[in-house]
Amino acid sequence: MQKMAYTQRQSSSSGQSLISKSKPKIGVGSIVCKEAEIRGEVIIGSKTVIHPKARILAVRGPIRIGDGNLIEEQTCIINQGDINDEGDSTVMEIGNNNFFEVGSHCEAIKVGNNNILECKSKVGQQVILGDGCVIGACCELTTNETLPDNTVVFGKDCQRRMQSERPLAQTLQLDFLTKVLPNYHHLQKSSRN
Amino acid sequence: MELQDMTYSKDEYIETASGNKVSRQSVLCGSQNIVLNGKTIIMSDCIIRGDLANVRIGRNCVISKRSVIRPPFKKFSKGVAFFPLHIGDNVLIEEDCVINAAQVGSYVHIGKNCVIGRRSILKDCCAIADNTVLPPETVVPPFTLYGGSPGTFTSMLPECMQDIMTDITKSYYQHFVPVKPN
Amino acid sequence: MAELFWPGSVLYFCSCKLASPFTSLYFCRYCVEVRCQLCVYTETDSYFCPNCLENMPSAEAKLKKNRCANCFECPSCGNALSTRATAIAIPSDNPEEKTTAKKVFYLACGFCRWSTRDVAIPDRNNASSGWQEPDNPVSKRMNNLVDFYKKLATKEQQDREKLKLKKKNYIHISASSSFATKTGNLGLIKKRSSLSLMRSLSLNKGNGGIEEEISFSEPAEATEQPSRQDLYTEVVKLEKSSSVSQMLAQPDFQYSQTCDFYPRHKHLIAKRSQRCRQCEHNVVKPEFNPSSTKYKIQFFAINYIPQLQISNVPEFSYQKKSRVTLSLKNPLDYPVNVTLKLARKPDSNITDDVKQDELSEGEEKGTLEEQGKDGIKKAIKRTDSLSEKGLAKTQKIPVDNSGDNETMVDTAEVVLPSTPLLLAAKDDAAEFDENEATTTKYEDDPNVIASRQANKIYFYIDVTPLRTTGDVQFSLLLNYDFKTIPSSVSKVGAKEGQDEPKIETIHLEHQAHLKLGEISQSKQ
Repeated sequence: MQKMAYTQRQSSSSGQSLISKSKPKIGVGSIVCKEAEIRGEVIIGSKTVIHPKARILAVRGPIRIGDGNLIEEQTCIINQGDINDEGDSTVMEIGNNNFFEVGSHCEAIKVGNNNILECKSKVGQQVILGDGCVIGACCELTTNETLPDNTVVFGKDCQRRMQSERPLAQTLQLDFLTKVLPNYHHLQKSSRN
Repeated sequence: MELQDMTYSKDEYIETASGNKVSRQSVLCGSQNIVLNGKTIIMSDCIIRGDLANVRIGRNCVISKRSVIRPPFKKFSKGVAFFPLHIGDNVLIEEDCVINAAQVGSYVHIGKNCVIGRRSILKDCCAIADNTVLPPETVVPPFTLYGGSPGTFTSMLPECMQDIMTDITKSYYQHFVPVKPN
Repeated sequence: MAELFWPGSVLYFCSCKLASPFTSLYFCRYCVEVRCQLCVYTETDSYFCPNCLENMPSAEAKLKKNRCANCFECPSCGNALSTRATAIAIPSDNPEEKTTAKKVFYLACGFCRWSTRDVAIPDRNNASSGWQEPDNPVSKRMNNLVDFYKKLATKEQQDREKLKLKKKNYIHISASSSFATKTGNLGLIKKRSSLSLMRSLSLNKGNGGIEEEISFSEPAEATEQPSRQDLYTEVVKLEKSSSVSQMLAQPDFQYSQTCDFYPRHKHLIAKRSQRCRQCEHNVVKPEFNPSSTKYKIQFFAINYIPQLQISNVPEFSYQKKSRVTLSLKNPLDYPVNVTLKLARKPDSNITDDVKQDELSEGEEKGTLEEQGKDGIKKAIKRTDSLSEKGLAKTQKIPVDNSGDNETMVDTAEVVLPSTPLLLAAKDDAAEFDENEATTTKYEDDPNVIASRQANKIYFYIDVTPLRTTGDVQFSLLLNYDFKTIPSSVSKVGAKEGQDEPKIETIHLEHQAHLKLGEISQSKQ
């Protein structure tokens, strides 16, 4: 048996040189690992946890993330929104208590509260997520629609059903991660006073 | 058809005394909590979350590119706990997988682009087809192939699964060679 | 995936001449022959639930319709449901405390998030019990019908026996008018449709023991208008109506609305053992425990027959000789000399008959040697099995499935190594042996042997494709000596006066078919 004594390294990501790596605004009590890739104008609320290797890319407009969100590794939240004639970009808004699992991909301009994007799910730019929606693992949603509250998308054909209760917030997991992650990772400091 | 040689540049991989080959492009969080038992290959852009709980990976395993090994959590009435994740010997995990299992036995094959749900238990000598989504807390019995979304029983596997997987993982290690200097 | 577990590039021929992937073949040590999936009986050893991995005796499994007593399936997506515990506040009897917390249980799906609460099934107080499936609406009628027909069958049986008796009696008695009427009646009864017989039986309550009148369903009348007008007007809610697969998962209910769903017990799966069809010995017998991966008996081809694999293939072009690297691995614990021969000449005019003659000649050689030693026992065994199972089998080749191999024609001229290939014995400890001195022991022709790794060799063959399109493929024969302690020695040997079991050498020949890959189109 041998324990791995191996330092973590940050792999340089290609492309994305167009966006400036300006410092994101991070709310009080949020944990944002340095190994997460955050580019462009990103505002993060309080008590949000962002795991290493998550990517938040404000390519064509700012991204505003609310409170109590959990964003896991390999997640990609990217603002590809339209820029109107006057040069105003669209702001991508993500509400509170959303859970982005490993490898999820979100381009939706508006995400409500208490949504879960399971592993490897993909939500396109034209979708507006309501509250309490669950996008199942490996499901892709690239339609132009507003998803009603408490919708569950699941299975290989992206079947849908309505849920009677909205998924619970990940408060307990956030508390745990807030305690544990600082022991292992370098963090970005919260900037808001 | 046997495996062909797969080459890597010597600079990219770290080889440990027990024969583990770990890519420098991989992310091993909380490396003090990660145990690799030897002759295991961890390829580029893999993420192993030893910071959440202990991760133990057996001998002759292969973790292909961009796969994530992540101990699962369970909610209790008071707080959450992350469970240690054990992976047995001779396990081949293909590219782009997310492994949230509680236990992966020995002689297991996990196909490309799979999601193994939280606290799933993969017994010895089982296999998961490509693009499978295994729901949380699924148990995969020995000698069964699970596939689909949600992952369900698809077929039985050959009885000599143990020999097949031993062969595949060993030859994988043999064929995973550094680029020969010209 | 399939290529990994059932590799199709190298197929081995079973004794029935069907080519199968190497991993699905068995090697019967008693017959000393390859057996494919069609040449073995599959027997169910035990039933178990794939979710809780709990064994169920076969009698109980039959009673429970092969479903687990404790595990449930989600009616919405088919995933296994998990039991969730939660505390609810209920008004207390005690006026001092307003409410007390009570632990209740419900079932929830971790995949599509369906739960028993969604369909207003009340929570349970106990974690393990209380989830009774609703009764099938037609189960009562089904049972009635089954009972009725069972009784009918016994009654008919009795009648037939009576008839036989009467006929016999009649031969003894001389013809009389009373008999003529009797036979007439009997003839009538015979001619009566089963329906009328049924009715007559059910009328016959006291006598026949068939108590219940069977009512017949009235066929529905076809009408112009559908019975439900609202089908035209109501908006379809896809989220609330069930899909075809959801309906088919519960064939006895087929709920069309998701709000009617009810959890279903999980299906069991089985542990299987395989038995050789010829000698009826087990070739595979797993251990009883569902989570065990060990075997009591395991005669896999992979453990007994040298395994041929394609190691490296160059690009093929028509009529151009190319060098292919194959590998051969010895699974036996003694060194083996393998001689390779072509199974048939490529694209030649040899008819099928000649080919088969050649084949059977080779096989007969093996048979003679075998039968010389334990022929007696075999003969006895064979007659036993014949009489028991009533299976008509030929002496040597019981089944000929060679018809399924029609596409397997040689499309290349192949030059195989002319010398025997010496394979080292399998050594489990070789992996841990640091100084690899084994390679020096063999004096290999570098034009034949590419390299050696413990019990595995890599060797070259020359392949010249003879067709302009399609797969480059050919068949070859592996010849080697197989050492075994004959199964008959312990019993028959004693009779012949042999004291110690002696190792017998049997010459074996296996045919393999190799698909080397498609010919490249670019160079033509």
